Amino acid sequence: MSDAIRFDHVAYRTRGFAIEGLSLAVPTGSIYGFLGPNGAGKTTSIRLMLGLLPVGAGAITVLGRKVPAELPVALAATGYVPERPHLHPFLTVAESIDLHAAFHVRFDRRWAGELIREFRLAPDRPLARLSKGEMGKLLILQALCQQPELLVLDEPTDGLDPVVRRDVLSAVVDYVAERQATVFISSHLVHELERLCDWVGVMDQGRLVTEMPMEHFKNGIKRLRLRGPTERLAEAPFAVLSRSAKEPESAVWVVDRWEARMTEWIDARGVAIDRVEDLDLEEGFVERLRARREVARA
Amino acid sequence: MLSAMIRLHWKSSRAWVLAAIAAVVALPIVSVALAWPHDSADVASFLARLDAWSLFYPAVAGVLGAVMAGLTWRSDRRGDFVYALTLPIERWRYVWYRFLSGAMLIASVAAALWLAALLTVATTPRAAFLHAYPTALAAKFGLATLAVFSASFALVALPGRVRQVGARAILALIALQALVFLLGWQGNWLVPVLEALTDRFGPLGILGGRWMLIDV
Repeated sequence: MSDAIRFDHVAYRTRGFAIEGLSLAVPTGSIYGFLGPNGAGKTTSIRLMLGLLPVGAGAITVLGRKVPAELPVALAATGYVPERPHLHPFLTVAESIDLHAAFHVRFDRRWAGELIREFRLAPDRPLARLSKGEMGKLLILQALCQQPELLVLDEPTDGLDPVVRRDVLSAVVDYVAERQATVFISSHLVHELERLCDWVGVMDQGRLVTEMPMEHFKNGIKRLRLRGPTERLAEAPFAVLSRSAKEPESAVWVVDRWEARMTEWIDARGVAIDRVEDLDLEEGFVERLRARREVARA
Repeated sequence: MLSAMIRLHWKSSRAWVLAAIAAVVALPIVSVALAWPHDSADVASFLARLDAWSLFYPAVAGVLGAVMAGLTWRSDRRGDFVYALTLPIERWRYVWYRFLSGAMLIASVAAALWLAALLTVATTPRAAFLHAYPTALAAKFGLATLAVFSASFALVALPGRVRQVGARAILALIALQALVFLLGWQGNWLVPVLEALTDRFGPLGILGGRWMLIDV
């Protein structure tokens, strides 16, 4: 499978913030969730891939095109919904769509008309008077109707009410199902991505913490309730993200890279496993982030 | 794409363009009507009065050119240029379309002036030795507005930090010049700079000279 987006050892430095040696690969046709706390570097990474910021070192390709050398070709097949609205506020909804269509040769005006009705947008309303939800819908509409191979969504539902959020995300899901497009979606709303994404990358403090298929991300991380001399579990075949002991001989561990056969390895060391619990994406995200920060501090 | 950019530019600056059209349509009509001598022999005073009115042409050209340039980039700047920079065209091409769309709107104002000047000339009886220059006046107005627009367009397009540094440097030079003047020292650099800019062959030289619709 080729990569729709590829970062190779990308570095970018600005006052008070740096991205160092960022390498990531977004498989073509995937819905890639880009997670991270505020200030982790998600938006900066997106701006780098779209040529909005100059790359300090390393290389970026988008849809097989080098950025920034072949940027216009890459952008012709990329729909972008930024974190903050960026459209001309004095235009009306219809005028903004017309302007967008003028620059995108594959823009589907008929579908734009359908989405205007579906999203209940008033074509003659000036953008300056749109609510946050309406603006979010318009941004998605414009990005979808240009029929991109790649959709880059930067916090597309941040601050939207649940109804609008559902409308926006279902439009994206329908589009992906129909066109097999790639979606790169950045968000700190982890639950939202859990249902949507099949790949996940986690950023923190300008670095990629982890990147893997969503299934591995969720299944590989477990909470173990252990009883017995856990000190015998040194050199475990899994990564221990956190340990807590509420009473002697009883501990709760959160572990990564877990596989079912590892229960035997633990049993063999005289430690009983009371329970192996699944973690949802948010818990897994928080545990991985916490572990990474502890390692960084150490 | 260009027509879309012209529509965008029109939407952002139509109030100014319409005001400029109103001004340049009124200028030749009103100036000739008010300067027209009751005594047909008083041609010299007619030309002097018309000359006084002619100051308004470069003034309108200067204001319109500067305002149009400022409005060109205003909404792009408000969105941190994100929309413009994520359009699938080369950046130089986007800047060129922006410039061209502004120039087109300026041309429409110049055309309005030309029509108003033609109308004024056609309805004004004049002595045989007086000549009318509606086309020259409109062309000069268009070029003068374009010159100011071009210079302002380039300045406004500079990054904010560069503009700040430039503005501070100019203010520092003016302040230093004022200090030199107050202390009675030798040295004058502002006047030569202004002269070089507005000299006949300077970048804004077209704003100078005569702006007469009717002359000998």
